Amino acid sequence: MDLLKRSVKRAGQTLELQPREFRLLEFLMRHAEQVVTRTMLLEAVWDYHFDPQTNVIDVHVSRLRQKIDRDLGPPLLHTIRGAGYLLGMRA
Amino acid sequence: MSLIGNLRSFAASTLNRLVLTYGLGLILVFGVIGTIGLLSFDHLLDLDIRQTVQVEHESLMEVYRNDGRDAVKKIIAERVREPVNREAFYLLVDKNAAVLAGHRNQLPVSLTRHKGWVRFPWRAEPDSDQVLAFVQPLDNGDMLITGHTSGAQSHLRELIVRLGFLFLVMLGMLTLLFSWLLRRAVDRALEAPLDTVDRVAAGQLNERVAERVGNDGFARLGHTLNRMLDRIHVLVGGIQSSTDAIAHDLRTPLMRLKTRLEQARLESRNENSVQKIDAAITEADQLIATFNSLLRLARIEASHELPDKNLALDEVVNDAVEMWQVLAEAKEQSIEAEIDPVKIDGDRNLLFQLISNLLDNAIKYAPMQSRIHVQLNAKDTSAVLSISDSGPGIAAGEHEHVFDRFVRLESHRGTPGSGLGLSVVRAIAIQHHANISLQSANPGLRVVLQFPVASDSMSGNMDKMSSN
Repeated sequence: MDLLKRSVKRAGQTLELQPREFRLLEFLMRHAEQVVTRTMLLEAVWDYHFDPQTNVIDVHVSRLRQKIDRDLGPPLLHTIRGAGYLLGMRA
Repeated sequence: MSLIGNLRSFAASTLNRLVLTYGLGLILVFGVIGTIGLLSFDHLLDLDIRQTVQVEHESLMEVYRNDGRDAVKKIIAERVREPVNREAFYLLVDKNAAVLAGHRNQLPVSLTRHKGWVRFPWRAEPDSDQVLAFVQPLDNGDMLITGHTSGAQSHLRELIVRLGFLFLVMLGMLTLLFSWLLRRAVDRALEAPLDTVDRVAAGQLNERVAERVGNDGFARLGHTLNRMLDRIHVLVGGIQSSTDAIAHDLRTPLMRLKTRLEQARLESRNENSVQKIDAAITEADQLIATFNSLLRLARIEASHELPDKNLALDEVVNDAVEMWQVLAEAKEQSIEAEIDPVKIDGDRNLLFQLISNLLDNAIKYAPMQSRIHVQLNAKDTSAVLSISDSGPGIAAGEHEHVFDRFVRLESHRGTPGSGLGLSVVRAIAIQHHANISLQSANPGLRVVLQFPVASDSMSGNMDKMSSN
């Protein structure tokens, strides 16, 4: 990930990410191998403290997952049930 | 036409009617008293003239009896030439109606064959003064007429009548002025309590009427209203704090329940029971979410602070639209946004929550492939946010109702939701002094919120201008 150019590559391929998706991935990478909660994502990526009541975060994460994980090797972005998400290698 | 309209709206006020009735009564009473006074004035005047004429007549008759006709003729001729009293009238005619002496060259037609009191004009002019005269036939067929005009007195009478009318007109104008002043005073005295009650009705339960000094009805009104509002506040507070206490007390055991379910799920080797435990965890999550919403609602209702001064509402709206766009896309819906830049005083997190709840509802209830409109317009003193969808809408009769806690429309029973979304919206709107209204978008629902613009946005603009 190149923070200055705002571009991301995986397996040699440049990924087309929206600005918000880029911030989401950046935050997940900074907390790689850690579980991040939805509230953490809201405050860090969207900068709002609120209760979404629906799965809107999940939809954003699954869109990012489609872009970074599809056909590009082992899945990296995992959902941790009842807690949040984790970016990293998992068995 | 507009005058009649004005009069009608003028008479529509109880106060105006009261003062008008009072004024008209006053005018009527003064009119009656004036008329009676005028009539008695006329009567006294008449008596006075008759008396004067009588005295004059008697003296002439005495001359006639003692010294004969020629003496009377001489006196009359003298008096006509050099009048002692300019308002006296004399005429002496013989039996052939030929004038012997007096103020006329011939006998007026109205006086032929007349006897006793008679009234005729002093001159031939139409508005000439009247003469009141006594006609006395004499032994030899002569006629002695002695009279007096009411000239000076009738001028006085005219003056009094004019003054009376002027007085009545002034009284009428004073009544109007007084009614206007009274109405203004009462409206002013009622304005503050009415505004306060309006604000309380809109949900700001801790508003109170500014109490007035004195012990008139208005002071008592304010005092009584405040006592009633205190009572309402206590009652509503009691209901709210008990729900809040319940939510708070039940949240911890619910969290424990969820943790145990999750442990059970990890330890379970049976696929069937894992599914059941998952369903139970989902239910527990929903319960916890509801309790969290209740507690959040309680916190919003308890706070009156707007921490973010001069907040760009347009940025918050744009952020929310961007966030919810993905959910709309999942239903192939499009969100069309027209956003003006506008600044308000507010709490950006709560505003984001408010817009999120409305967008969430719009996306949830609007059909597939429909459009959702989001508009933010900057007006002079307000920022108007409207969010409309083309879903089933809400019947007009339900509009007030849907903001209450746990109210879910019958048609929405099947969809997930706590029934607290719009309660949270309303609580946040009230906290921001915003007006909220539901309208029909034909078809669908339009939610319109009117926020007051930032208090120092005007001076902010000026700062910008001066720094440029």
